[in-house]
Amino acid sequence: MIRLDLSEVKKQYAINSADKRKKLRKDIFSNLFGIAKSEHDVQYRSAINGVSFTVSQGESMAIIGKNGAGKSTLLKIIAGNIAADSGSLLIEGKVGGLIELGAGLDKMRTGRENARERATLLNVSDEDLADFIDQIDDFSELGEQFDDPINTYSSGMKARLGFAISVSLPFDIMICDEALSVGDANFSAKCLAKINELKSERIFLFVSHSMPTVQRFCNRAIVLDKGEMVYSGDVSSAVAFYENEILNLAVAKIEKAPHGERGLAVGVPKAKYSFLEPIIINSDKIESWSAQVENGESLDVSWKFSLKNRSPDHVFRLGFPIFSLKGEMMFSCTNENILDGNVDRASGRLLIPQHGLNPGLYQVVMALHEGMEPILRQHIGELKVDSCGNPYFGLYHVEHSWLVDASANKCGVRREN
Amino acid sequence: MGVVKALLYIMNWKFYQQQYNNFLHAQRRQGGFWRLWLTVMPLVPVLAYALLGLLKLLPSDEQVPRYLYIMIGMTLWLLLSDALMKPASSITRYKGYFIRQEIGFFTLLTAWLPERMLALLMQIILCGSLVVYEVGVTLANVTAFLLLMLLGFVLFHLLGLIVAIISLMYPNFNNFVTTINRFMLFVSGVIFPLPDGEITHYLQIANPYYVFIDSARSSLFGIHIEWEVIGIWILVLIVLSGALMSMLQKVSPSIREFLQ
Repeated sequence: MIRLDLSEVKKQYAINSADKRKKLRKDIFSNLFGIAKSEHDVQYRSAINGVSFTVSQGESMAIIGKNGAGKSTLLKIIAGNIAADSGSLLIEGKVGGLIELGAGLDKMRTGRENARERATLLNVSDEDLADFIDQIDDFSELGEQFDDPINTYSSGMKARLGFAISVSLPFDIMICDEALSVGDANFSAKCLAKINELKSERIFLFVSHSMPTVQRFCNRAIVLDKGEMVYSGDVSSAVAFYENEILNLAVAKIEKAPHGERGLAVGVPKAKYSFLEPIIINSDKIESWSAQVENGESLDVSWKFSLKNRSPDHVFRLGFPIFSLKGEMMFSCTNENILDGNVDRASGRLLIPQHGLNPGLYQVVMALHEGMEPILRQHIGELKVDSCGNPYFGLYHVEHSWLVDASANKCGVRREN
Repeated sequence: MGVVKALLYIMNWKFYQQQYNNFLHAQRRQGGFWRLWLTVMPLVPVLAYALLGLLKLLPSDEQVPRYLYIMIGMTLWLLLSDALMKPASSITRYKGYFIRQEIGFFTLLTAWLPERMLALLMQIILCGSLVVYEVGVTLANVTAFLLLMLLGFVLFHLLGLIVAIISLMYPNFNNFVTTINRFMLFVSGVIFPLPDGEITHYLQIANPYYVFIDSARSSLFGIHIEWEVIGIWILVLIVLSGALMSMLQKVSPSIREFLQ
C-alpha cells in the first residue's frame, strides 16, 4: 500500500550562505557526536512549521499557498532532497516527479541519454528499458530534438522531457510543482490526461497557483501560509479558504502600504494602484462631490456632485468603471447625459443586482466627463467578491442554464441545471 | 561476500558507467587527436619524473633501477593523492547530482573514479611493461603489489571523504590539506628513499603514504616489507570504514541540503 504520513514536520533555513555553513556544522556535529553547537549567531527563517497530513494510494492532494508559503520546501522534504529538522515522515513508495524545472538533467547530454540514465538508475530492467525510452520519446513530443543535447532545449522542452520521464517511470508518489505551467496548452492537457489516468495507482501531490487545475485534479488540499498548515480539507473548501482568507488578506496588506501623496483634497481616497491614475478633480468646474459603494450580492453606488459655472450646452457623462487588480477594466456603467439643461447638481444611486464578477478584489472608480474632457476621476471604493470554492474560468460568471439531453441504455434523461 | 554485497549496495555501478561514458564523450569532442591526449596525459607526470631519474638528477635506490623506482612511486603517489583530494572536488564537480536521491551519497563522492581508473590503467600498463622487460616479476609479487595498492587506495579514499566533509564545513581546511599534501611528496619515498635516522624511522611507520608506496613497490621487486606496520594500517582502515559508513548515512541529508 502506497502511503505518505507526515507528522509535525518542521524545517527552517539559514538565511545566507555563511549561516548555511554554520547550520551545516551544527547539523553534522549534532548528528555525529550529539554535540549541540551554539547557534546564537545563526539567523534562520522558518519554512515549514508543524505540518501533518496523511495521503494514501489513489488520493491526489493539492498544496496551495502564496509564494514563500513553504510549498516547495515541503515537496523537497517529501522527495528526500532535504531533511526535516524535526517531526516524523513515513513514506511507503518511491517518490519522484518534477520539483524544479529540468532538475537533475545533464545539460551536455541528449534527451534520450538523460532518459536512459534516469531509467537505469531507477533499476528499470534492460528488457523494459527500450519501452520506457519509447514512451518518453512519444510523450515528450520532442521529435528529432530528443537526440539533441539538453542545453539546446527551451524551458518548455525541458519541462516536457522532465514530465515525460516522471510519468513514464515507476514512481509511486508523484510530485508536480507547477510542472504544467510551462509548455503549450495541448501539452498541458496531455499531462493532465496522463495524471488522471495514473491517479488511481499513485499518490499525486500537486502544487499550482491555478485553482481551476487544482480543483479539477485533486480531491483534497491543504493550504500553507508562512510555513503553517492553516487549512486541510476537500479541495473546494480549501480553495475557498485560500481565495477568501489568504489572497484577500494579502491584498489588504498591500493597501495599507504607504504610497505617494498626490495632493488631493482631505477625505478623498488616494490612488492605490497606478491603473487608477490619473486622479482628477477640476476645482474650476467641480464644487463638491461624494460617492459610496455598498456591496454584497449586488452592488449599490450612491453618488452626488455639484458643478461650478456650468455651460448649458455641454453634455455631462457619468460612469463607474470597475477594475481588477491587474488593471483590466471589467466593465463600466455609464450614463451618457446625466444632467439636463441648466441643472448643476445631481445625486442618485447606481444599482447592479448581478455583477457576475469572479472571486477577487476590484476597484470602483467614479468618472465625470464634460464633453470629452474628464473633470472628475476618483477611486471611490473596493468591491470584494468572496469565493465559494467552485471552479471559475475567465473574467465573469454569466447567469445561465443548461438543457441537457443524455441517454443511458434505452432510457432518455432530460435534465435542467 | 558481505563486504562485496555492502559495496554493491552503496556503489551504483550504472552511475559509474555513465560517468565513464560522459568522460569519453567529452574527450571525443576535443577533436581528432583525442585518443592520443587520452593516453599521453596520464603518463606525462610519471614520465617527467622518470626522466629526472634517467638523467641521474635524483638519488637512486641500489636494488631497483632508478627510473622504475620513480615511475612506480609516482604512479602510486598520484593514485593515493587523488584518493585523498578528489572527493572534495567531486562535491563541486557533481553538485547538480546531489539533488537526486536515487544516486547514493557515497557514489557521488566517488563519481570521479571511472575517469581516474582509466588513467591508472595506462600508467600501470606502462610501468608493468617496463618492469617485466627490465627485471621480470612473479605472480606473487604482482598480487602483493596490487593488493597493497588497493588497500592504500581505500585508506586514502576514506581519509579523502573525511577531508571533503570537513572542507564543506571549513573551506580553508581543503587549502591546508592541499598544501601539506604537496609537501608529503618528498617524505613518502616517491622519488627517493628516506634516509636512515630516528625521525625518518617514525615517518616510515606513521606516514601512510610511505607505508603503502614503499611496501607496494618493494613487494613488486621482491624486496622485504614490514607486514606488521601494514597490519596496523589495515586495522586503522577497518575501523575507519566502519565509522565512515555510519557517518555518511547521518550527514548526507544535511550535506545534500547545503548543496542545493
